[in-house]
Amino acid sequence: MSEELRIGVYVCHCGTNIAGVVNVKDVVEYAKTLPNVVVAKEYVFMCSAPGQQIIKEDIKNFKLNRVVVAACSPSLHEPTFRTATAEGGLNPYLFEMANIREHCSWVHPDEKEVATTKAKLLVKMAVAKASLLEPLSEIKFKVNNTALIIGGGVSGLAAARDLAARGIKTYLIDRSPTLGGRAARLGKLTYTEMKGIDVFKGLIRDVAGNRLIDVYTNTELVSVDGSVGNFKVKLVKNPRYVDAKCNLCGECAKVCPVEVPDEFEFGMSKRKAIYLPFKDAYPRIYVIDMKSCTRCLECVKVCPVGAINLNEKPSELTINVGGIIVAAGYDPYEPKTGEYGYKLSNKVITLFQLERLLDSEGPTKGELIVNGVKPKNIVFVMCVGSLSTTPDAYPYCSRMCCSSTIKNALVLREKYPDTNIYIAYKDVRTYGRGDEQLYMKAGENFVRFAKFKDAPKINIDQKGNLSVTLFEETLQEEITIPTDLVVLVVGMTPPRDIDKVRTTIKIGCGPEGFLREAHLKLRPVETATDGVYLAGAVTGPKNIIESIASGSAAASRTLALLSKEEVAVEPLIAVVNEDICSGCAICVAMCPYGAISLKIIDKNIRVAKVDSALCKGCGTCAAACPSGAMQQYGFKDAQIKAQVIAAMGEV
Amino acid sequence: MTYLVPQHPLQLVELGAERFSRCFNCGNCTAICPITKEKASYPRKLIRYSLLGMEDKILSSTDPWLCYYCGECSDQCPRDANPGSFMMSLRRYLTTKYDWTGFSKLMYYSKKAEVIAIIVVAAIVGSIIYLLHGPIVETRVELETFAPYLTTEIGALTVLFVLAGILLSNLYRMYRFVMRDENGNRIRVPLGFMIRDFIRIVPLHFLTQIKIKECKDRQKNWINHLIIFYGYAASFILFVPLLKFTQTNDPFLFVNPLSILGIFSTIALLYGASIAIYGRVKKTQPMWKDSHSTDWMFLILLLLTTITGILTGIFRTFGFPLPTYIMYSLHLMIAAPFLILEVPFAKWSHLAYRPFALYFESLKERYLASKR
Ligand SMILES: Cc1cc2nc3c(=O)[nH]c(=O)nc-3n(C[C@H](O)[C@H](O)[C@H](O)COP(=O)(O)OP(=O)(O)OC[C@H]3O[C@@H](n4cnc5c(N)ncnc54)[C@H](O)[C@@H]3O)c2cc1C
Ligand code: SF4
Ligand code: SF4
Ligand code: SF4
Ligand code: SF4
Repeated sequence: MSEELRIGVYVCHCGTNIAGVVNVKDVVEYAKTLPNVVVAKEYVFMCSAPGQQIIKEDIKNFKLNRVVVAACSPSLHEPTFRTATAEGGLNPYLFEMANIREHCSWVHPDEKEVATTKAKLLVKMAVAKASLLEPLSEIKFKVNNTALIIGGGVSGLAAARDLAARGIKTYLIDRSPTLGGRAARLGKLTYTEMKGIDVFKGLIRDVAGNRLIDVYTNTELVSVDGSVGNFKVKLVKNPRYVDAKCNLCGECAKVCPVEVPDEFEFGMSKRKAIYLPFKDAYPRIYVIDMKSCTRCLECVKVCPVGAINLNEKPSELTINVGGIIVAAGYDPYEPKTGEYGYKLSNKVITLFQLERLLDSEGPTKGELIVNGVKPKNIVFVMCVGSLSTTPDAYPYCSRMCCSSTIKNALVLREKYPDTNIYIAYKDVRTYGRGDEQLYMKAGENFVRFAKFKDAPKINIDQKGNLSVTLFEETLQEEITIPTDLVVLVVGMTPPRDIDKVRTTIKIGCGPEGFLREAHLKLRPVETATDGVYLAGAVTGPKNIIESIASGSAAASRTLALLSKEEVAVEPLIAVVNEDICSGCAICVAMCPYGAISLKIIDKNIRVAKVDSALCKGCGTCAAACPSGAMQQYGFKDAQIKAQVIAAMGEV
Repeated sequence: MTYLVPQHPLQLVELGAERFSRCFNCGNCTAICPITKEKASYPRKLIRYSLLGMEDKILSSTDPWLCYYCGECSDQCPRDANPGSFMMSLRRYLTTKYDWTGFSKLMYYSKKAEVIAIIVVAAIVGSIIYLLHGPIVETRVELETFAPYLTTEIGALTVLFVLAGILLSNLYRMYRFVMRDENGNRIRVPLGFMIRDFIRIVPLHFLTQIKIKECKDRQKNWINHLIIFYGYAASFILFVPLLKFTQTNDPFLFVNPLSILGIFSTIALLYGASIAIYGRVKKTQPMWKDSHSTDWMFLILLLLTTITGILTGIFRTFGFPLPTYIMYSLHLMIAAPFLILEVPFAKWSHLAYRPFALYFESLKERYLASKR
């Protein structure tokens, strides 16, 4: 090392978090005795502005060329001190941190002396490593300014619309054969006269035919490589068996002999094996459900434009994008057979089924007919699958179901004024705009509310008559409501198989399985993985307004990234010493990110080569390399060895 | 466990409780009510019972009769559910339920039926007078000859007994509904207690209606109520048991104590009825805000009975024979439907139900105390 080492050590009290256990003064005095340390100081909060100021001034006054801070975890304040170091005029990578809080004072609160000794050792190790640090510079990449959106519900559509409006090329994929998600199946919405399908139509107007938006339906994620600004995404496009020539004549469905329950109508009506998912589905192309298709070829024979090809195969495609928005939405809670009488009687339905029954385009053209008759008494059971009502229920509130239930109750009262409607509720949480007024209106319209704490029981007698028994909380009495129809108000759950998406993109989730934001309050549409954003109900129950707003928010965060020329990433990545690399390729096989390849430098000599855009700095290769050729910046063998030796010695 | 009757609350809407379905169970009404008791929880609880359709709970409750409609609850209700008018409607509802003849239902649920019933009774009385009246003396007022005492008295006493009979049987039905525990099982109290409590409670409250005073600022109401009550009671005694002395040919003599009582009672009725009609038209008090057709009919018939009575007296005093006979016939034609229909089947029956509610309540308390 050519220049003389001048190290400054700063020990933080962290209020009493550290100083309450560790004898900070002792540690400072000890630090002064370490080799190359020219100054050692203590301060109550090093991360505060005055604390950082000390570092900046000392760098100038003492001509420091290494900085060590003994404080909290690097995951908390390493960036803070790196910045302070840089502002003091040093390369930010000439900074080293010793964690004497999480690793010391917090875990040894009752052993003050031992803790002080441990703190000294940790400082000694940090100083030893600091001596060997080398200046590094951030790695910059050009940003690929295209985006991928996973999920074509209202939130994904809103995000696609907003990105395209700013000229961003966007890929919008959905695993189902149509865009629209859940909202497209809802009837009249709360607060407005619009139906769910109208919201969908409003959004699709800007998406359909937009040359900046590539829509891939029946498409799922296979893998994601790369990092922020440069993701390489593999998709699999499952066959639709019908191509864009389809003119929606419907001849194929007429001749198709296979009838199966229509999932769009929640099984309340039938569709053919070749079908259009719903009237306004997008893309406007029929699709074959191969699981039920018998390959009789009837449809192929009648299609006037020859759009059907039963031999279509799944195809893989790879796209490169700079940012990814996950907008995979939610699934309705599916009660188990027998849970609240579900599936034991066809007079027990879910709120979604009711929405379809009341939709003028639904299976009964908007007439409430169950089992061939119009029910006179109807009981809604709220919080099914939510608020821990049953052992299987989720603990959270699904937020949208109360308002939606009340809205449907009012629709029913208006349409059939002589029906008696009971809402068995645990809590009424009508938080959305105008929803409290709806609740009031329900009261005025003779919708009766019965409060329960423990889940109501649905009784079905031999004749198939229904009744609902519950312990009414406001009266402290058990009551039984005779009824002709029970509507289970099911909540929202994480979408099926979301874990596959989550682990492919490597983002976190909460205890219930909804995807996790980087910070609930400060960064609600970002994830801990740079360049990956979240929109809509995939982070937890949301209504349409919130879903669309979060779609726009995610688009705006994505834009902030994609509008940059380049992104900078930490330079703590792997590097090969080509002189000693034997080209064994062990690292190539080990790297989980596919960042290493072999390059030929001379006829027979091949050495490893790290693609800095793909390397995540996990260190696997460095550990695996038998010849020590693979090293990692910031954690080189020599630096680690110096720390180990320091740790082994005496204080 | 209660099996709900979903249709039940809809009846209350017809009986005047239009807005109670707005109730969201906050309990403000019960908190503010000056007479709801520690353990009772009305109006809130009764509203919840009704709204959910727990008909049996309503039938076995005496609480509606304890409320005098001061309207404090309606003023405080954050949802403008008008619990006071709901309590009122419950009293109407219970009146229709206690009554076994079905007349009460008819009167309360159909204005048309009510008017027809009144006209029919008036017509019957009219035909009886037409068929049975005595000779018409045109030279001087001979009321005793026109309306022979025996005939009129038999008519008056028949009315009295029918009335009392119906009221008593309805009170018995009330007893059967009310004397049940929370599970709907019948309860009985030893005869000794039944007699003791009856003596202790019923006459006092029947005669003083003192409970009204528990409502806030109700001194004036209480006095009004007493004026109408005693005016009515006095006229009733004068013209039914004492008919022999009041249905005379003589002009009013201001020295005759019966005449003086008669004058006072008619003035009291005139005053009371006018105040109530004025109050209901102007809606000066909460309890006068939700007038049902039976309330109007009651007051109108009361007023007409009084006025025709007074006019009969005036014509008689000034010696106009024909006008006296005609007015007296009219008087009877109005008084009879008033007494026969409005009193036992509609609003006026509360005179009996209120003190008996207190009585049954006390019996129930005794039963519960013995259980404890
Ligand atoms: C009973 C009920 C009633 C409601 N009523 C109303 C109402 O009246 N008003 C209101 O504002 N809101 C209402 N909502 C809420 C509304 O449904 C949601 O706010 C909205 O649908 C959320 O939109 P989204 O785009 O986030 O998700 P979704 O609509 O669920 O869309 C997600 C899309 O992602 C796709 N997808 C999922 N996983 C993958 C994957 N792995 N790969 C590719 N694609 C995938 C799905 O196929 C789907 O198309 C109601 C909700 C419920 C439960
Ligand atoms: S919104 Fe209402 S019904 Fe839905 S989970 Fe929350 S409290 Fe229950
Ligand atoms: S450190 Fe090595 S193994 Fe890890 S991502 Fe980079 S190249 Fe791959
Ligand atoms: S104050 Fe109104 S809303 Fe509250 S319990 Fe009484 S009637 Fe219901
Ligand atoms: S009107 Fe008065 S007495 Fe009757 S319930 Fe309301 S507050 Fe109580």
